[in-house]
Amino acid sequence: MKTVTVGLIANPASGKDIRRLVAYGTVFDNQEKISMVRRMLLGLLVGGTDRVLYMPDYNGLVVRALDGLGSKYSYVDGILRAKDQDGPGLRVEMIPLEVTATQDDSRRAAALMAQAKVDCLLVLGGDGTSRQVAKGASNTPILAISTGTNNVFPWLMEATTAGLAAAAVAAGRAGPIAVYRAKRLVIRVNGEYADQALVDAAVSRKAWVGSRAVWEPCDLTEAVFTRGEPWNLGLASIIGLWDPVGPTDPYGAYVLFSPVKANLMAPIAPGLIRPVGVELAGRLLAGQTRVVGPGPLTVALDGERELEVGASDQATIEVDLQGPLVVDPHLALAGATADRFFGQPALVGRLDRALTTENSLNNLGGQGNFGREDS
Amino acid sequence: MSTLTYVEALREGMVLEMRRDPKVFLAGEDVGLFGGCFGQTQGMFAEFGPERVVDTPISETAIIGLGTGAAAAGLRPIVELMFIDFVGVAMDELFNQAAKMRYMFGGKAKVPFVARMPAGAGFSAAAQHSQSLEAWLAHIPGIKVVMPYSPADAKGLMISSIRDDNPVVYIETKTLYGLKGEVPEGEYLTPIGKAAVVREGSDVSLISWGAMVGTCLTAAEQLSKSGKEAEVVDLKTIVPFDLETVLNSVKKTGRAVIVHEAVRTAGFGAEVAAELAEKGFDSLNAPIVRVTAPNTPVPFSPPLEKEYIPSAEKVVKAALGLF
Amino acid sequence: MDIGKEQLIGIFDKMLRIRAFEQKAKELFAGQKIPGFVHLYAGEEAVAAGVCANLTVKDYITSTHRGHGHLIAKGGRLNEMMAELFGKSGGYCKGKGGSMHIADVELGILGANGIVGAGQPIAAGAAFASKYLKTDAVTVCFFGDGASNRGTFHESLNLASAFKLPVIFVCENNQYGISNHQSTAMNILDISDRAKSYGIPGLTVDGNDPLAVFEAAKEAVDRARKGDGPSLLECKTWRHHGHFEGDSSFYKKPEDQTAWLSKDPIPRFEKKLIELGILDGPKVAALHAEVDKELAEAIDFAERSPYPAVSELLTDVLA
Repeated sequence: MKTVTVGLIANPASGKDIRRLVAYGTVFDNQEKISMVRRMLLGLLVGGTDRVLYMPDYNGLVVRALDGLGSKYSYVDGILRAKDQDGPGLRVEMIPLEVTATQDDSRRAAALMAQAKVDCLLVLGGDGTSRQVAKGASNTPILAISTGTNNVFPWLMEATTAGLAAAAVAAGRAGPIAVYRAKRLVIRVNGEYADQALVDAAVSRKAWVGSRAVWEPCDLTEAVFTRGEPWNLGLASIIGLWDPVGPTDPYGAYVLFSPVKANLMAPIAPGLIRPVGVELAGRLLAGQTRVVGPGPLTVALDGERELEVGASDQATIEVDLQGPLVVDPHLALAGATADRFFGQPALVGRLDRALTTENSLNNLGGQGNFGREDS
Repeated sequence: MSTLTYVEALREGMVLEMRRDPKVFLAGEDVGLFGGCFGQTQGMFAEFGPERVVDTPISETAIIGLGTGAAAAGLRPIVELMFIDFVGVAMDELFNQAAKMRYMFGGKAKVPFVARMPAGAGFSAAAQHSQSLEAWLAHIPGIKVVMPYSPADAKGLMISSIRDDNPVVYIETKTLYGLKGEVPEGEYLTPIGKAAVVREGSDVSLISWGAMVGTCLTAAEQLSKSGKEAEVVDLKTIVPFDLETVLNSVKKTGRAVIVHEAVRTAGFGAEVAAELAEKGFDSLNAPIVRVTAPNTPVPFSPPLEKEYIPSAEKVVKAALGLF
Repeated sequence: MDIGKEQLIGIFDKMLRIRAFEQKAKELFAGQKIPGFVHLYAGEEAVAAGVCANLTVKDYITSTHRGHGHLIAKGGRLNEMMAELFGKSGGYCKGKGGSMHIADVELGILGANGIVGAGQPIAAGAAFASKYLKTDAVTVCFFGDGASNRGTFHESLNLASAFKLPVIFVCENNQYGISNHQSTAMNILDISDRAKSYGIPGLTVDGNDPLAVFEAAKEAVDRARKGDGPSLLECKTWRHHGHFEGDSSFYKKPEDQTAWLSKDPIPRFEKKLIELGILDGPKVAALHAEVDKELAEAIDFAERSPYPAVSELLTDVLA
């Protein structure tokens, strides 16, 4: 039988940037991330995943998550099990990655996991983390769950059900429409590939990366989007509230900003709704590019200043339809439900034994054939 | 003159200074609407409002730090620790920061604040709410320590402490709060560093401070019945200690009994005795004796606590033993 | 741009000054010209310079045992600082304080401090004074990762938050409390997480990037000045030398040291300023020359300054 494997990438640095000051973002502390990882692991365990490969990080999020499972679970010899269960359990292994405590850790971890042929990448972080993971993921589907502040790409979702969704995708039981191919933006400087973005690339007059975030629309000259819907927060809200583009539409969009007028109120950051001047907006088809520069300027990728473009440099931003494979967790869980994935006795056997007495199983079985059809 | 209780007098000192100088404010636990644990600050919240009568969190370190930092930045804070027993929590801010700033900075800092600390046994408040810790504080160069006995000095030392340019620990004795006395009206200052003879006598000097001054006065009346006239010296200020007044008294009487409510070992009485022995040896006709609490924590049970606190009888006995 | 060319050069110049001062202090300590303890700030310059570029002379700072950088960044004069390190009468404290107690109240420097975490309550007090007096001054409290485990940290952040005091708590997280890595001393590694408990903003920035520090500090300072209360700014950084001079840092992993030295804030910032066309080779050389000249003067001043008269022992205890 195939070993069902999920890659787990949790970014300890998300949720602590300058938006805590310039907007009304709150600190997303690491204790909450640890708890989310714990809930994800339990979702994966009960969802029948055989193996998790995780990214080491300077904060030890996964190690701490495993440490704090309490007496209902054991983590012995690298295997997580419900207490008193002797089934195969969930093997949780760290990938051999040298931690640099930079965002590049996430990219390298995703690449190693893709190489190891994991079936799904479960990601905890914001747009920035997702962007790095996408760069390394090749054709592994990504299920990203939000911790950060300005998130469009990752899903705002309870971690337990995210774990179950990833388990279903990894097991190949999430149905045919749960995974789709996203778009991306490719940024080149002087013709050379420099970086990529998943949601937006905005051109800022600020000449340096500094504290990274972008929160003043008046610093921007233009932006390119893969997507943007009216319910989005962040720069994507600009196109989202002007002329929305869905994540699967076969084109992107651009906006040129006016330095003088304001014709849109957009939620740029949590609690921060700013006037924006849209001078010109339009669609950008696959392969079309915007040329920006020369600098000095910075290109913000998915809301964070990343690329510094010098006085003698020129950059291009291109919409590319060949972005990463992305999991829609709602569709994944719907698909798995239609497939009676969560009724398998094999999965029930991964629960705490206190919950799986003959009696309770009978009771479960008595209500709508739960767990009995596959046996 | 008006007749005020000790607690009214010390409050009047604060109130007058706060009316006079907008840089004076009061901060501490429950000093605001509640009016202080013993009613010391009653009415002040109503008069000065929450900006100048500031309720703090239960954070003694931050309270002393607030006083230190605000004083260094130009204010004249009065901060209150609810009980002197809590000073241990805040000791670093007091003895390593406030007390040493001026010296460490080569005289270029001024840290004018008053730290009020209620002290003393007598309420069955047990071992953590009853201590007399003046000797601890006296051991720290860079702070002044005052410990008034009379209502007049409660006011006069309060005003002097607020106007002093140094950190001053103002120890108020809880058992004295209800003590009534004549208090001069208006601006009245008791000089810091000056002791006073509060009862004249020729046969023995009873040297004391805080509540024990009252005990010594009672003892002096009893001694008088035995034909010995005791002179009672109220130190008022522990640091700087007015040795001259003490020496002059002992020169007159030739006998010294030092009385304090704090425990015996390394109490401030030891310092007074040592100075007397060094500088007043020729005046002495008898050994210097101390009447103090024993070296125990303050007990809870009333009969034990009564035994703990030096009594007039013990003072009389000690004094008569010198003849 | 929120920050002009002159200000950028000013930050760079402060960083050069701090690095050069520390290098000289190291040499002079080794040469036994400086008695006592010396804790060098080298490696953390971006924090002091980036933060203090947002302050004016009427703002306050509290500093630490590793304080030279903060003092220089807040405008401390090199002559008096060096003379103080020597224990000479021309020093900031007439030679009575030494490296760990340099202060200049006129410049708003409420002292370096020998006690870890002791500056936090004092900073709250200074900020209270500014609020009380309705000036728009703010107080910056510098402290290290180790100090965030002191009760003073928690009491002060709580009180500052409850009172909405204009104070910015700047944690220089250099990851070591003497020899103990942060991971052995606390169960969290982002100290900004602690802000959450006090209901104030907390954020983490690259403490080796003066621009990141500047931007974050600017927002925190603005917030405090406007009366919106305190914030906690964690700057991840690295001390190049031991805890004090004489400590070889054998407990640090060589690969960590190498990695962090490659993130040295000074060459990084220099490169950036040259890229931006704000500086060039000759301008950088001229800044270095000026700093070297001032330091030579400071050392000369310290050398020539007499030791304090013995009578000084007894003065300045009380006002």
